[in-house]
Amino acid sequence: MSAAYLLDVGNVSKVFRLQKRTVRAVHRASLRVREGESVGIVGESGSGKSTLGRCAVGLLRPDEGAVRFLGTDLTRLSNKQMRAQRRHMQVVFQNPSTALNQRMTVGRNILDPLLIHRVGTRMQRGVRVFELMEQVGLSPEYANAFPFELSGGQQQRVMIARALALDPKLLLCDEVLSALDVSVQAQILALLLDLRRDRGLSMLFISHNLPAVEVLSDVIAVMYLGEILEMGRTEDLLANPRHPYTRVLFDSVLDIPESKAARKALRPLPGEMPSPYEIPNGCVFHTRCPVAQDVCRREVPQARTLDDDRQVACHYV
Amino acid sequence: MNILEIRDLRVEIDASDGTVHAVNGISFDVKEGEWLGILGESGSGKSITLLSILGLVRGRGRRVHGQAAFAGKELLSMRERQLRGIRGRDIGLVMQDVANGLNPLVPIGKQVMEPMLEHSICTKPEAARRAIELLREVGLPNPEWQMTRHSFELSGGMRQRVMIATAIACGPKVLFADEPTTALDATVQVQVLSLLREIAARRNMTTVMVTHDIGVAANVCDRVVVLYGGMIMETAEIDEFLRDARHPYSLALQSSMLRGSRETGVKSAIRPIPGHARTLWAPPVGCPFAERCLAAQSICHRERPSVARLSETHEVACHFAEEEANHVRSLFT
Repeated sequence: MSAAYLLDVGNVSKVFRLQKRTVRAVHRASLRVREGESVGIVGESGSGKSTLGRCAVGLLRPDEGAVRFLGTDLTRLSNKQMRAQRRHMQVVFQNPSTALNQRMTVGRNILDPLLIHRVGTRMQRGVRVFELMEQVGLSPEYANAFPFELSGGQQQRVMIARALALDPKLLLCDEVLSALDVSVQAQILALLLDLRRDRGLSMLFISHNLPAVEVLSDVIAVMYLGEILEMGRTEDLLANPRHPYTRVLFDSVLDIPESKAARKALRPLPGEMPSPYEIPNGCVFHTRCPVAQDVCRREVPQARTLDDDRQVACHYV
Repeated sequence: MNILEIRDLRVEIDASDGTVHAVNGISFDVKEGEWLGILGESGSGKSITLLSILGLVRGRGRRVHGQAAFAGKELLSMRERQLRGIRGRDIGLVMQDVANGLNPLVPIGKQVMEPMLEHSICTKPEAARRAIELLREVGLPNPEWQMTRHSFELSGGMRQRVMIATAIACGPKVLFADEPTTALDATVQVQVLSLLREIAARRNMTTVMVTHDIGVAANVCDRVVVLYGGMIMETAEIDEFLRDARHPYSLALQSSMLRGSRETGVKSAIRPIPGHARTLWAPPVGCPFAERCLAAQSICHRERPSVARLSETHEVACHFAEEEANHVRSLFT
């Protein structure tokens, strides 16, 4: 049924228990990634983006729902079977200085996945490390350097090289730009775009940097308090956001005006995202929604699919 | 009228393997009532400029040269005790790191009262009353109740509001804001920026804001100073900067800024600046940006560019500021 999709995340929920309290991190989220497609997940901190991403690549086991990767339900695999699947889906994390082993050289860090999955001969692995370094734009002289000797952008390149080592089908990028300087962000983004084009890599791109998601994603999913409120093709979603939250979220990106006179008024969304300990009844966004009515406070809107491949969970769309 | 005048500011900081030349001769003015943005990447010397003006870069292995005059008073040569009377009272500071800027063991009300008591502005009960008003002013709901809460109970946006309340508690004439919205989500960033703008307008406060985000600068600043390698690359009114930025570094920053495709309808090509800012172990010989500049010629590596004055308010430190503006622009856009 899901043969057309590389990854099919269906109705996934994840609850964390902390000191007798429960946090609903992700609630009934569904998304699909086709081969070669890039899906962006956006939302504020605490909206459940990372938890959903981790469930999608089997780093977390969801409490409910199914995660099918090439037809296999990851939630039913044993740890050993899961490990075999992991070579097809690799992760690049936010902070390269903690994700890389600082006591191993750059070359050894990149070699690690090849050793774990026993790929090729010693000779072939060595050649592969240098190939990967070249692909991500790292000069071969860095192979013997330690990560802490490199800048943040270079370390992120090492992370990407390591993630590509096993030729994965899916790459999860979790806030890969946030720890980097502006000019370096643009460099890493350009690299990811090249990799997508050259390798046909599928991606789950999690970020609160909306312009970056716009550039890199074919489909965008908008999350709030653990739920996907809206999802659609990037161009359609940007041109015509349907959910009120999508609209305010995209409006909060500061455009560069032509001049001081052309500045748009800053229109902040009032209030704050409620605590995930106390999820509001009805629609999760109703406490801040400019158009909320009684029904929004009472009933949870069901996600509906509209004509243009769009999925929206709002009573008034 | 200028409320702050910085002349030839230089900062050196000793590290284990040499001396970092963080600021290498910066001069600029801050006009009363304006909103000045200091733009640049990490390592360009933005924050250290602010901190050294406030006398927070002092002690062994740290050397600050030059002059910084606040309302006619020279700050850099001032004794610590005298400086304490100005810091927090006449010049407020809002920092980036909302997680560490507040003391988690002290209720936030007490922290907002602290500067007023420290500067003996009023009695304790009066300070408590004012603190409640300040928390209301920065938009904390139910301020009386908030006074007893602790910073770890608050979200990042709320913490930044408390930090702003603390910074404006003594009614400073100038507010220094060091990347005040960088650690925040886009929706919260808009909230905090509009709050800062409201407060600055209502209190007629001069604001100097350090940021790496051109989007932020373009939306709130009246004027920008662009820093790189601890030197000023370009100074301009915001309109001149948006319309006619000349320095290759300014242009590179503008083109590496990701813009949404919503406005233009097309995905703008990403043109990253090659390389990254380096630590300066010696003052730069030529132009500090030369090694990353797409338009650099041999003279750029040899000689420091003099400052070209394009208008009353627009100055550019580039060898090719006047003649080749269009050529440079075509390289970056």
